[in-house]
Amino acid sequence: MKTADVVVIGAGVVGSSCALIMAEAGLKVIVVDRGPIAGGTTGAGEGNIMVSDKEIVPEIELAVRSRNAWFEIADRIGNNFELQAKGGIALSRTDAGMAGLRKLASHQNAHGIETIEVDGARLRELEPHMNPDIETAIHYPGDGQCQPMLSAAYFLRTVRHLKGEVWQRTEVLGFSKDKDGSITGVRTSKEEISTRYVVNATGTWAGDIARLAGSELSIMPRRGFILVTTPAPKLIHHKVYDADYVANVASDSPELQSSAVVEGTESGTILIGASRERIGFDSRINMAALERLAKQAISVFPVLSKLELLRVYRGFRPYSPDHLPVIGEDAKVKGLFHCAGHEGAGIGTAPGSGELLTAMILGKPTFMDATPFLPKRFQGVA
Amino acid sequence: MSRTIIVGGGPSGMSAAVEIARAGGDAIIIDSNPRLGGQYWRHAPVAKFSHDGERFFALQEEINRHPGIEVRAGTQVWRASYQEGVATVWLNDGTSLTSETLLVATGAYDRSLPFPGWDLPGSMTAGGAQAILKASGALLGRAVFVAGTGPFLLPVAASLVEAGVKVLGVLEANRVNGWVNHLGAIDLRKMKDAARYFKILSAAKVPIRMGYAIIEARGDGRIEEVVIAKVDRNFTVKPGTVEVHKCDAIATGWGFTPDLTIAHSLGVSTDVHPIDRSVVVHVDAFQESSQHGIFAAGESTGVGGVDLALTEGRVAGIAIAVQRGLISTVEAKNRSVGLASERTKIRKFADALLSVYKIREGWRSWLNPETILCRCEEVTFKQVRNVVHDLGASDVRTAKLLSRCGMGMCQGRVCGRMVADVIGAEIGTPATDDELRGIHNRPIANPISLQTLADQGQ
Repeated sequence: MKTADVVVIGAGVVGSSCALIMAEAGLKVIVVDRGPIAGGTTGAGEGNIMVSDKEIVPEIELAVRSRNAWFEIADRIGNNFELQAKGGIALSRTDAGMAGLRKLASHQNAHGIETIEVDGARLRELEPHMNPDIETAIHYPGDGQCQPMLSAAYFLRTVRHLKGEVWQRTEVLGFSKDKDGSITGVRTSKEEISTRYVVNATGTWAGDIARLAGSELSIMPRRGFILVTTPAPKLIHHKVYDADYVANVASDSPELQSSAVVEGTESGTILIGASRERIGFDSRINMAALERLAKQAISVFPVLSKLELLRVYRGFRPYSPDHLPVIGEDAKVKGLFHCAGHEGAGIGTAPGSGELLTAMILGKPTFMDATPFLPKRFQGVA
Repeated sequence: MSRTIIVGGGPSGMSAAVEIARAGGDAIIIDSNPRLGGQYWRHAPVAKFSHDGERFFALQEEINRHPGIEVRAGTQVWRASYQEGVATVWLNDGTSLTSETLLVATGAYDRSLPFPGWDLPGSMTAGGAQAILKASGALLGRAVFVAGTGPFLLPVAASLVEAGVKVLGVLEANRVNGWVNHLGAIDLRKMKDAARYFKILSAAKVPIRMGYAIIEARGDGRIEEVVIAKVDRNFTVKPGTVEVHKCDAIATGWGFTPDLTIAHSLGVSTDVHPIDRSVVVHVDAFQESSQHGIFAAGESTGVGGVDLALTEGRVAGIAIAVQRGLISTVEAKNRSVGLASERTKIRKFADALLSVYKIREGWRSWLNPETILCRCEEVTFKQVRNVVHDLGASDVRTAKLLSRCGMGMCQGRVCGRMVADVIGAEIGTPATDDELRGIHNRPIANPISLQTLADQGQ
């Protein structure tokens, strides 16, 4: 039987962030995934490291710390994952929309997010190809981007260098507990691992792992499409999105929603996200979503009408009932820690989530009050 | 019932269209090429063939004569779907078509193997070289080597000679005895064809060397010389056999990969061919796939050449006519006399060829760390090794996504299969059947203008 301080289930960006930070803290970590590394939602994301779309204070605090943690990790292990502080631009073409953006910006500003309102002339400097009918916007220098699969892969590479292990294609079959019901081990399709701590970082599948451990957790999939264009010379310099996007993320309506989030990548392709539909794990392509994304993107950047769609990503973003991530110890099973439900913000907020969990497991102070993220809020325990 | 959609206007698509028309039905042929004929009968605006043109002209004439057959050439399908018995294809002109019957006649593309310098200007696939000759008559070089494996190298070399190119040699990596006999085993036509190629090549004093391969191409900005060597039965270079030759272009061909992109989007069941492990559409005796109303013919059901494509196309066309209620099954039998046995005979022969002209694993020893595997994204062998051995990629998909190998403009059409084989070898387990199927998973079959896409909803 193997022994580990912590078993992290899930080799996506959230699991690999947890594993990295725990391994760096001196813990012996084994990462277990039933598939390959970054094979789930991580492999179908844009790599958003956004502070600009956060509204609720705990979310803002997590996003700001995570954003800085991303750059600190790059300093420590090397930036092999295309991390860049490109900045974001949030725009609206209606007075009401802009008023909403200004209000949000001043709220965010009060909680440590840098926001700059820019006029048309400045906007043209930042994004020369933007539609001239857009006359004002909020610039967020703090928004960043990375290549999420490479990030997870390089985090896990560091984990291995720190004597940790990564078990791919290994299914978790069950958990061993002592007579108090605390976790003592993880039974896997490979072999059993003796451990006191388990991190459930399985994203959209986190509910299954919770059930397997004798608890429950409500994490659901939200389908998103991202269009990838043929490679082009650098046309778009920031992460550019219209204000409706923020409204959509917080929405509870199941039908298709979309608003353009447009950005360039290091490989020259341009990504156009993000549609959102709550229809379970249905991987078929929704033409209406693609059409709408294309239309919205062209309306912000008319130059895009000349580019071609090359690929479509589709991913299932994990969301919780209140759209906040679930980070912390299970209310019913001691030793089981959840780190899931990050929805579309999982790439961006993974390192901060990993820091919170590491501190909780080590019994150290957390960088913020993590109460709003604790799983007990859904587990019928006050 | 709406008119049958035929995706691909090569031999199988044309022959199916003719059968449907003969049964009084209608069909629309969509092809990305500007003219009918596919790869085999690719031609300049004014069609002229050195041989086997009669069959093309006969099919074309009959297609043109039937008002029910529309040919939409120069049009790409960028997406296809199948739901509740209805197939839909979206075209890059912004329109879409639906029908209860669709024929996948999408043919095949060249299978490529990389070697140091294969990405230099002047290096082409055998099929690519021939396509240029057929479409424009342009010369790809003055002194050319033709190399690889398979009977297709002969017609390519012969057409180069006929176009006035100096062919320095035909290098067949497999050692094949009695090449002519092999080709002749099928029928008189093949025998005549082979004899004709040999006559052209021998008149031009083109050496044909068995068990040889191009293992490297060199040059400053374009090909100036090639390194050729004798290879053993596993394609590993035999020590002491290396030769360097000046040349200004090469055409290399390693057989073909069926184009399953559209078939995959339609959700049909596929088989992995037992001989060359290519992914092919699973069809029944009537060329119908696992999806009702979706038929497949030609290379998409397994590489077999023009005669098999024509036969399968006819079988599919007649079966579609029956399914649409245009003719009775009795009438279909009358129209199908001899087709099934013909198909079996040619298929048997095609499979024999696939066995003889197999790609052997030793080709990977020609690679060096800097050899580009994915030309679109310029990914090297070293980078692919790195994502497997350093980053822990343990399957084809992850290795692709982490290295960007096969993620470029061609969407892995050129390198997909070869990269799967390389990654499988690095991981230590050959690519699984499902991983090979995954190579053909391209929900966006061809790039589509964002403006066209945006206008779809209107």
